[in-house]
Amino acid sequence: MSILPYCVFSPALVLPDIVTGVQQAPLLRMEEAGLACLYSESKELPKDPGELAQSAMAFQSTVQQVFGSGVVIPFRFPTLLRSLEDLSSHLREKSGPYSAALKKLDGMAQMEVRFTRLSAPAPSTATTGTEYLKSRQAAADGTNAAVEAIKSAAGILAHEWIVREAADVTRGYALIEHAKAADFKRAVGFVKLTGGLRAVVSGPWPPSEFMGASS
Amino acid sequence: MGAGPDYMVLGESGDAEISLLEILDHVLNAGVVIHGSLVISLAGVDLVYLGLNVILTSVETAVRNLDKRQAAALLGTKDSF
Repeated sequence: MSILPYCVFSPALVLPDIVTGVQQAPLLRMEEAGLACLYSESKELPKDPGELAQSAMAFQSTVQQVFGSGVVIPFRFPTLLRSLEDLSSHLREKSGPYSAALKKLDGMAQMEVRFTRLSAPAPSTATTGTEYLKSRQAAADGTNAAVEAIKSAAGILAHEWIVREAADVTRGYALIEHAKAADFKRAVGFVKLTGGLRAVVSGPWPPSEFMGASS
Repeated sequence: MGAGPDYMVLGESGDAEISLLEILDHVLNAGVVIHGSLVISLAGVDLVYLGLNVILTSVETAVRNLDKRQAAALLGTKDSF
């Protein structure tokens, strides 16, 4: 039996009535070093892909319900700890940065904009390596322009932006006031993307990308 | 504080439906990562994470037949799919 932590939050937060989490395990609460943490005792994670996906979604649902009451620091799924002592130890060790993050991000949320290209440039369509690299550069320029268009549309609704690029996807994270998520979606909803770009705007999520050094 | 998360598609999608793959992509990419010996096995966690990403495509296929309302309820949304 291991410990599956969900999220850290202020002990003053009044939680909604959530009883069970992943795999219907009872949700338990720990308070340590001025922090509260929701966790459950976990057996092995399911190996069946469908059940694993359900576990991931149940985890996310639990975190989101707590986040509905106030800011939380979520753990990445699936983080498993050996024992409650290890969870206590982690909270004591991170008490400073976690408390600072909870204070700094009180009332805030993050919106995520995930950019993907419907048809990635393929080496087989370019006759030379140079042509391929040029097509990749053009695609990157298009994505960068789209990111800037979204940023511009969001305007002052976004207090801060973080953009992370990976091989086939670019993720933009906007730090906003939790109560203004609908305004953010309305604002960026007018942006027209072209050139085979697709953007999925989602949120509000716990502002985990803005935890600073604590993440 | 407001409603749960929802999703909106911009661009030339041709298909405005949000796939479970995209939802799981967020779930598996968010949150604080604990490093160190406290974690049962850092390599293990990373491997599980990598494994989850590797099987995402098959996950999507596997859960395609799930009741979407059940999935939406799990996610805490009503109109996410």
